Amino acid sequence: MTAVAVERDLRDVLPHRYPMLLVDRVLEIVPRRTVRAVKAVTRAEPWLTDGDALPAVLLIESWCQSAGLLATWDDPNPDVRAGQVMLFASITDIRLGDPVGPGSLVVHEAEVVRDFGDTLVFAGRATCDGRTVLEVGSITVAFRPAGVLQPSA
Amino acid sequence: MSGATAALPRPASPLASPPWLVHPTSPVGPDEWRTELAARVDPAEILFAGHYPGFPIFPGVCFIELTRLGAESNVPDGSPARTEVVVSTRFRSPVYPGDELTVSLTWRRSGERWRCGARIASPRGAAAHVVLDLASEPAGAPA
Repeated sequence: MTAVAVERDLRDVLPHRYPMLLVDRVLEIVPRRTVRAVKAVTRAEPWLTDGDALPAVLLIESWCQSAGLLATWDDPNPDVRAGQVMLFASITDIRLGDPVGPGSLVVHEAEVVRDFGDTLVFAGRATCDGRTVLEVGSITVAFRPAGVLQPSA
Repeated sequence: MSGATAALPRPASPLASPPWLVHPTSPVGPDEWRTELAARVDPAEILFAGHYPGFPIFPGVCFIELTRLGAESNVPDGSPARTEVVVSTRFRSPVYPGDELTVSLTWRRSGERWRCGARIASPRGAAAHVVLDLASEPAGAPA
């Protein structure tokens, strides 16, 4: 299977929206295998003030959204209130690198290291100008009925 | 990867409402300390506009952020510290705007770092368990 460059509105694949839609473009993807995607950091993001960098946890979230594309690319569900939703179950060993500020173009690389059908494990890293800014040991996601997110669940 | 230097910008926080201190860091054993914090998930947090429209829910990474904010300013030896590793995170149950949270930190030394474990609970029970490794920042480093 060959990775392909794609033009696709990621709002059709992910439920996140501004300011929490944190992946801008997919460079190449092989669903349930590997993905390379980019996130452009800009001053328009509401949490940035002069001199600040993207919050580290949002860099993690951005990487997770990129990885999540691997699981949902062929069967997307951009509505978290219906159907099967993708939930992050656990994170292990994420190493934070240098902060990334406005003007940075972050490249996320993620791969599926285990695929159990309704549960997947991802690993990878993020780079910026050739520097590693995030190393991800493993992140586990599971697909569950949307009802588990409801307050009464 | 390298650590932060004077030329690097400081990461911002996506949370406008940080946790507050309930019980300061204090020893509970020969090499163990505890800190108690609390937080309210402010419905006005701007991130809820996109996570998710019509169904706001606290992002899982924000449990890591609550822990980071609480830990970096409450290190047992009082030194400023920076989070270097998210050792592990387990998500237990969802959290919603308006929820009152408890954040209980347990500290141990881990080589040159501090290892901080956080148990975060909502009114419905355990919400997340987060473990971070923090390194002391060099004396005199610009904020």
